[in-house]
Amino acid sequence: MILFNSLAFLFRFFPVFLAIYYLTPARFREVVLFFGSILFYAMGAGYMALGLTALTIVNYVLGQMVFSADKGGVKDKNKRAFYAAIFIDAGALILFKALSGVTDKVVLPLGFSFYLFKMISYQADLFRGEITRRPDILDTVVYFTMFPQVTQGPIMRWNSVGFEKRERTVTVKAFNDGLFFFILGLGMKVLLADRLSILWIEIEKIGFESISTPLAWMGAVGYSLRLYMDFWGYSLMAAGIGMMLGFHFVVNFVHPYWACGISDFYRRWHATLGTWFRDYVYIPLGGSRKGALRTIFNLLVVWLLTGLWHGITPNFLLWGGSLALLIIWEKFVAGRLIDAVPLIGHLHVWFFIPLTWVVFAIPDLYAIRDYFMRLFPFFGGGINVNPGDFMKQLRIYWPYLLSGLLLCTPHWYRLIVKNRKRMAVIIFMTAVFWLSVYRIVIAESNPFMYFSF
Amino acid sequence: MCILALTSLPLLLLGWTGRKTVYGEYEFDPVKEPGLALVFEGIHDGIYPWKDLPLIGGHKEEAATEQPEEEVAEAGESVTEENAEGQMTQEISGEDAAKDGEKSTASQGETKGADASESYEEADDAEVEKIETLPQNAIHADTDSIPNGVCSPVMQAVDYDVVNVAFLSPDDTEYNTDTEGIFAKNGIYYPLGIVDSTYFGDALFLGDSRTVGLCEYGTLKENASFLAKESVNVYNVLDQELRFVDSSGETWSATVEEILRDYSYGKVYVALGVNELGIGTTYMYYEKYRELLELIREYQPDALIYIQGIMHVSQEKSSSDSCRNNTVISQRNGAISTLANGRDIFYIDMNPYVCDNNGDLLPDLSGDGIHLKASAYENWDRFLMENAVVIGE
Repeated sequence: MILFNSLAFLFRFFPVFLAIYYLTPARFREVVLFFGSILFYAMGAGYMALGLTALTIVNYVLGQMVFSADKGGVKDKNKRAFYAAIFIDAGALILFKALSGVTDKVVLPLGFSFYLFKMISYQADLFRGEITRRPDILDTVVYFTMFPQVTQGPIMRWNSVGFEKRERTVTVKAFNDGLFFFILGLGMKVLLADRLSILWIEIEKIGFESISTPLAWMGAVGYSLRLYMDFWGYSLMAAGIGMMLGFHFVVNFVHPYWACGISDFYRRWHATLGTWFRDYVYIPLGGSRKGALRTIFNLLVVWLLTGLWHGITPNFLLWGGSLALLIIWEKFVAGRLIDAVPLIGHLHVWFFIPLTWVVFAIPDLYAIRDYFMRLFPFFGGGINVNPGDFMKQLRIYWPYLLSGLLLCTPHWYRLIVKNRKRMAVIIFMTAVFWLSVYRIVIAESNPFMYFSF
Repeated sequence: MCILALTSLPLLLLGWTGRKTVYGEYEFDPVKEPGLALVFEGIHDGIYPWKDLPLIGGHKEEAATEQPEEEVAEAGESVTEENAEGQMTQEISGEDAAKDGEKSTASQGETKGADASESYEEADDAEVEKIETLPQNAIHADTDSIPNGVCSPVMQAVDYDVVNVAFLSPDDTEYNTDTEGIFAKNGIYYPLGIVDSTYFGDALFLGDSRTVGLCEYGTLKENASFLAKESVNVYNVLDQELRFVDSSGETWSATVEEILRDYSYGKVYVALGVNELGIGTTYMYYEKYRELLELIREYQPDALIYIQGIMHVSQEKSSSDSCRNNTVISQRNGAISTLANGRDIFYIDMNPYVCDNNGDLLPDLSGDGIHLKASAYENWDRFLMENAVVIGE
């Protein structure tokens, strides 16, 4: 997979693609986008591009059979086509997930599941009659394959991004905004997330049983920020590219760490994934309308599935399960308290979310236990702990931690977005861009020096 | 947008114009990366575009052409010198050595700019031949300053059957048997023995992040001094300030030369080699290592120098990394072990203490596959205490 934060993308693929895209008349731009996307995918995943193309065609054909709006009412024929499509898409998803879990190799190319998510939502939307105009083949294949959303989403919905409109015109303003968001995301990913990921490696290097308690907490916070900067940064890059191509901005992160409570957090974190699970799993199961017990069951199903989707090691089940429990706890017990005292909701997020990320980060359950023994050192534990480790790492990582924390509040982000036309911000963004390029060059030219020992 | 385009123009220009001159040493593939990548790479390595201006420039090329001659001369000198003193265990004519010198410097020049992983593979075969004819006693030819007869075993670099043995033990290099009569003046032999931690009271540990870990998580910090820093290697260790920690725990920044000049040590332990696995060839590594030992010897004429073999990495790491794998490490250990002379420079290899039978670092002892975990440094401590040379009692 070629990544947005690579020289090959930034200075070769993307500029060339954009030039061709803009020189093509607006009516034919989707064709360019389709071939560009397949090329993008093939550059990284090789033969998997064939599988993707095959799935795309199958889904288009079945989708045509599912579509029923202009024939009045759902017929058996539509139903059969819908179930066939879901069977194929979900089957492919499960098959690849299972394979990559069993063989220990990456069988599933990065981003493949996002395609399948999109395909499932496409079929479901068609089936429910939410897509009103019969989609044509070009729209459909472009929707499935468009490269900005390959690796980490966002999971764009058919109705949300302006597929109704055929001509892709791009204004200078939209282009500049897109560029702004792209660079912002690039900076978050390269300058913050990639730096913070080294902190986690440092902690693994020491061994969880030997870190001091302050370092354990710093590690949990650092990992939380790193995931945030990584995903949000990538989403912003994807959204920015989308804008440069004439699509709407897709919102995927809404300051999750500013959320009031765990369920609020997941409405704001990777929002397109959350709403996908809500619309295509939770609500079809009955949501919260079939009594408390059924609601609890549905939440557990959704979150265990979310966990499994991230990976099939036991820690992901534990991660999904504990989130389900926290959300159930909030829904039935702590909810009123949080409504009355929002601070409790915030504290929930700041305390529990980093802990769940620790579970997310560590595949081995015994290692998770070791880490939690250091987070909460009341039961002893701790072998050969160096109390000076916290200050040592803090001296190195404070700029990244601080920047990450500042970006957790909505204020800084809003301030910079609001003033993006000002000279100071433009200069700042230019600096961010070149600093990021510098980091990328160093990382790519010296893959083995990336982490220095 | 305009600003971005405007700022990228000069960078592109610099990169393209300099790609053959200032940045000539870098690999550059115009299909995959823009010319400006070179400018950034240069900045990272301290090479700036203006370096090539006529006023300042010119040095580089001269240096590059001079170097080979110098080294050939050196190699020839050292060999003939030793021949004269009758210490050589090998028969090497001055001509041969000079040829070797040429070969090595030529390959050095060629491989510098190439991709690191490729370069070591390319140079592989050539090296094996070369090392076989290396002068054995090049490090410390002055026999008079050797402490009272020491003939301790120099450990074999443990190769776990993955490296060409010829490389590890050049012909006629049998340290254990052949040293009699050469080093042991009074007939006393000092094998590697067990010592307690007070042995390290006059010891300095020099190394990279692994040695930092030994300092932070080992028990020897009570007695020994440490001079170490993350990411240092034999190529850059002399050019920068490292963290110095003395036995009282006091810490400051200092260069290797400053510490060696200002303090006197009875033992100097060197552990370098993991950061440069992706850089240069085994031969270049060996040469740089030798220069470092020569420097240490110059400032510390009476110290015992311990060359610590590079600790292996985990199986997972080793099998997934074309540079940082245990085959390359064994090969490099084989090379630096030949720098030991069994009198005042020793090679010790801790890998059997922390590796399985295949020579892979035990996964339980490491969190990242490269470093010992904090809780596993006791293995290193134990190894050092059980493999020490005691002299002059």
